[in-house]
Amino acid sequence: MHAKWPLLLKVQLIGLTGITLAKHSNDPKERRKAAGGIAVLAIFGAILLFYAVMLAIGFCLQGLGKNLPALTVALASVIIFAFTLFQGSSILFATKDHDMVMSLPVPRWQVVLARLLCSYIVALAFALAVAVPVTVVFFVFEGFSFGALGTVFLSVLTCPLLPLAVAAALSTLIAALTARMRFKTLLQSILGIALFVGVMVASFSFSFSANAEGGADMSALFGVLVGKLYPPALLVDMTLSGAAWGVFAFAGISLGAGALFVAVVAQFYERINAALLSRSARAGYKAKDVKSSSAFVALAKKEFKRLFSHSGYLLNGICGALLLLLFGIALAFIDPSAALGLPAADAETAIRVFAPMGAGVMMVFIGMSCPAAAALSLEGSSRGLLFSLPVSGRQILLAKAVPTFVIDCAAGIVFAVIFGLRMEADAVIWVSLLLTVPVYSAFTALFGSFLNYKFPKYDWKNETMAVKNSIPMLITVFGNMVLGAAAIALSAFVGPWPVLVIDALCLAACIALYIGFRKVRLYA
Amino acid sequence: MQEKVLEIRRLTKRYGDKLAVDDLSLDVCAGDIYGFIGQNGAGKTTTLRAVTGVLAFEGGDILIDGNSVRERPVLCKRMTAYIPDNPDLYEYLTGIQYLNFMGDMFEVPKDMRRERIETYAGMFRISGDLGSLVSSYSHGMKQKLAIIGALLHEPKLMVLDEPFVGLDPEAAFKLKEVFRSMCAAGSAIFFSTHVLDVAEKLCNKIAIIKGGKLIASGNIEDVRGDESLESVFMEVLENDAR
Repeated sequence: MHAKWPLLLKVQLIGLTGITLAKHSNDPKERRKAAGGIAVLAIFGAILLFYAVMLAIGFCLQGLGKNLPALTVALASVIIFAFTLFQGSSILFATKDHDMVMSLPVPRWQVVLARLLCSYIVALAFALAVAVPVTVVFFVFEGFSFGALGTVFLSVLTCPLLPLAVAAALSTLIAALTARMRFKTLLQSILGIALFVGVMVASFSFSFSANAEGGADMSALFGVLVGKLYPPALLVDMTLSGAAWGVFAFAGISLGAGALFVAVVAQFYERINAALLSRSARAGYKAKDVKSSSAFVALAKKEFKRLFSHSGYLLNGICGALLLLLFGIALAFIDPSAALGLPAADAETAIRVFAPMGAGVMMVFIGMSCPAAAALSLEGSSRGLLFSLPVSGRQILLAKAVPTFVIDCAAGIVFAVIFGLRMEADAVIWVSLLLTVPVYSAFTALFGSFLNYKFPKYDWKNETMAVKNSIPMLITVFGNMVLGAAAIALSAFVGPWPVLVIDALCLAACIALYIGFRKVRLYA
Repeated sequence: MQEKVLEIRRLTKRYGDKLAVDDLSLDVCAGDIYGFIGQNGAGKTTTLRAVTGVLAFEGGDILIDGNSVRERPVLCKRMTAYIPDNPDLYEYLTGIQYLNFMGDMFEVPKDMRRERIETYAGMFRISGDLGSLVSSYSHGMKQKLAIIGALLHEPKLMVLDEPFVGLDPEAAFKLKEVFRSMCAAGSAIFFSTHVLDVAEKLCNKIAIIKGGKLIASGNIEDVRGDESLESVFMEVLENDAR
């Protein structure tokens, strides 16, 4: 019998990329959208390449070039781990095509393998986008060798497997444990974030240090730091320092983790799916008082319910706001200068430098939380119902922006107040902090909603496809992060004024979007 | 002369190069139960979706109670209810939350809403299930919930795509009764079906569409003459094939 997993993988990749739709659709709009999507991806690829090259050059100039391959592997692995964990169990289970796929004459392990490989290819594309430019810089500064090339090639090729397998296993475990609980989505989200933080803390606590403790050279110290971030990456570092077996051990661990995951999950695949897909109906409902509200409020309430209906959507939708909230709360209890052991004089200087950056930091985290960028896509096959309702396109898009605005605003206000008090902010900094919260939250929400209107993806097989692999989400998150990073950098040099300028521009954009939404017509 | 609830004027819809609906015109009047029949891919669903404002179209116009769907979409939707062939409802809402949502959308007053929910949920025997998530419903239960949601605001025009698929015999019978009472009250029903027997017994008017073109339309007696609707339908298809 021929292996069927390549066929399953091919079909999944076609669905993921939308190639067929663009190629065979008779609708010129679909083709334009596909071309627009490719252009956007190309632009973000170029930005990522630029950032990677600049950072790599910076590291090389600091004399840390030797550590670049290991750092690349560590960073790519941690990001893949976080993204996979935040996707939840939907990476493998409870997909819309489950019944169809499971009815095919294909062994379970091949189904699991195809699903895992699909995620692997996406993760590998990300890893390569970072690793290729960094490796070029590495060879320019450190000199070319076939040994190093082989090490980088093998480590980058296999690096997504371990974080994918571990994160998918953890998210499956969370989903299985909470499957019957009432607030399972919220619980899954909180547990997902807690696990991520826990794994990172454990990694920093238990990682073995390779070859440098106190007083060693900068490169060796950095190597230890890389190891603390992601311990297996030390094996790559060791190979480049002469121990050739390291990269083979790394590849072996990665491949072993992937194979073990496929073997174990294949045993329980149907049972886990059944547990996740089955929902028992509660009979005996007694009519209570019906509640009424305006059409807009009803739409907004529906959006909140949608957000809390799927852990992957919730995690991705609120992770930035949640982190901002956690940082704010941590800041209330921890004195940063004391924690860093800074003398009083240095602490004052540090506060003067860091205080104007608060608004930029908020921008980065607020930008990470934009459920509005996927809310329209998530209508999926039920969009016909929404579009047939007697509400305008503007009302629909505004309602879809409400959860983003409310969640980002709530977390932002807490952070802004604590940050302002802790940093003893002056009047201008207070204004920049308190103005940025509503303005940037509104901008993120409206811009995300607008982008999703322009680039909807309704034909998803699970929510994660609509949330994570969507152009609107990519633009919103990375665009906002770039804007936030620019605000932080400018604030470091000229104080809070650049943030106020960005706020003014965002406010103007919000007004333009609000007016522009009047022309929106939503059709299936 | 009967009041026209729905006027489709020279409707043309293309999907790229493919002409899905070609210069289609028909009127549905108050009190009509209008059946829309045709083969798979004939353009029935496309026409229904265009009528409900879900689908944009290139040529012609659609008027609901004299208002253009293009120019006044929200007003037209307020008078219409649409039930697609596969009711993809919001699975993350409970049945009662979905009905309240629909009530809010169509601004149905609270008392009226409660009364209608009780009436129709009882009629379709899903009162006890309204507290459960829609995701736990069977296809038929979802269909019933969609129908109740569509009836809440007593629409002037009800547009349904294959409404009897998935319904149990009792629910199908009740739905036909609802159709008749709505039409007696001055509303109009426009629905597609493959079940010619249902169309023949239930509808007072019928339209046959083939390849996006309207082949025949009018009072059911005029369309079928002395033959059965099935014979007429097959004849139309065969004539076209020759």
